Amino acid sequence: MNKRIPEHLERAMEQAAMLSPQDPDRQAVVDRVKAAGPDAEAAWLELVEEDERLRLTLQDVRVPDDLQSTLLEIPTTHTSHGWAWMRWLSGAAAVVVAATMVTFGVWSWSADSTAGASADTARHVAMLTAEDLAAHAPLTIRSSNRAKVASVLQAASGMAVDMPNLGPEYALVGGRVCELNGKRVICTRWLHNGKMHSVYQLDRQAFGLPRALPAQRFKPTIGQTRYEAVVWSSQRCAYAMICDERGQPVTMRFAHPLVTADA
Amino acid sequence: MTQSSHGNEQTGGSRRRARYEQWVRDHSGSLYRLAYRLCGDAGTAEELVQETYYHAWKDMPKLRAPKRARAWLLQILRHRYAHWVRDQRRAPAPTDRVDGVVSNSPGPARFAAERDALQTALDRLEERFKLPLLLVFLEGLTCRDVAERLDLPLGTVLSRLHRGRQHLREALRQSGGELHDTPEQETQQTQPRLRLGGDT
Repeated sequence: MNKRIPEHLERAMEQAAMLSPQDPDRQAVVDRVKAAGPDAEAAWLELVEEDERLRLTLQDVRVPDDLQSTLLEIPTTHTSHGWAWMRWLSGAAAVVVAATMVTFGVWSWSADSTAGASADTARHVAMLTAEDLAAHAPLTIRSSNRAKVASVLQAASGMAVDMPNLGPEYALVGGRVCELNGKRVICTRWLHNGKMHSVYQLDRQAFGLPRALPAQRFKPTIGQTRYEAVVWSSQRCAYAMICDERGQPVTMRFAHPLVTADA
Repeated sequence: MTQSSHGNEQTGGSRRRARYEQWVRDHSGSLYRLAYRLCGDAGTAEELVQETYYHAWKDMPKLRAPKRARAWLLQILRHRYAHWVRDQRRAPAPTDRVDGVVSNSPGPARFAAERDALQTALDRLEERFKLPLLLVFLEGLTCRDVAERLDLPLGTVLSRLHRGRQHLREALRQSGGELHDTPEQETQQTQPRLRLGGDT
């Protein structure tokens, strides 16, 4: 700015430029600028124009074409009716699942001497999914239509898409095909309780995971973000469900899909 | 349940749905722009907006003044963003390391390189300067509105705006970048420059 403009006026101008044109404080500064002469007037106009450019440049952001359609689907999957029931059922399901997991866990511990090795493999898978998630890769398809997402991902990957049944409170957002350790993997994205979850469907044998692996929870950390991941397998394939720890803990929310996926 | 009360419930449900759809049409674009400028990442911005609308839908019955929907949505977005910032700041050392990861997804470095100079400057700006600046320049709020919403004295808001803008200007200068004119602006500049009398 011009050296001939008093510093106090310069500062007042900077602040006044951000007030609305109707603001009396701004009007008062404009009067002072007029009184200060042509240098101050030129500096004031430059300031106002610069602010206008800043405003327009900040607004120059491309909004995704499908943002509105994705948002409009939220009420379909999150109706208020039965929320209380849903919470009650989730609680009850969590208790049943916890009991089942304990029973199943004891059984599998005694029956399977390779449980430790499986846990290491599952931990490795959890870490791989966290690495992938941290890369913020864009989705190949954004849609809540399961059949459509499955069809696109199947065509892109050549793999049979077998989405776990996560329950009605999980809204499908879309999916993509990615590679973990050089192996092709299908990743679907879900919105649940305001948090984004990614579910990776892996070739169980290619990753060395046993059939019907009980759910195992891990907390991999990548850079500055800590994730929570659950790895399990069904008869056909293995899954890793992961989300970053934004908001409330997600521990029990993982319980529900584990039942239906393994059933 | 009587037929009448069932009907009322349905009407209430469809009214609620209609209001939600209106909010999506009216505000999702500007909320996305704000989210993007705040976090600097398209994917995160989209998720912040989805989270915002999820909470808006869920908590809609709690909103007593529907006319203040926009302010309310902004408030939810600010909270979601604050969560995100908090998580970004939590920086425990990596607990594990996997070598040989092959992924076909573009890495964060590439995304960072693609950001424009202004966004890079914004990303470096302290949060206390960034939010008032964006609320004024992007959302078009007056400084008094910002002071009220952020529960800050007007002088503090003005001071933060002043410093935020200076940081932005300095960062742009250092990076060699500068505010570029959009095609719309270029057209506007063929017209006479602003006149002081017209500005008031």
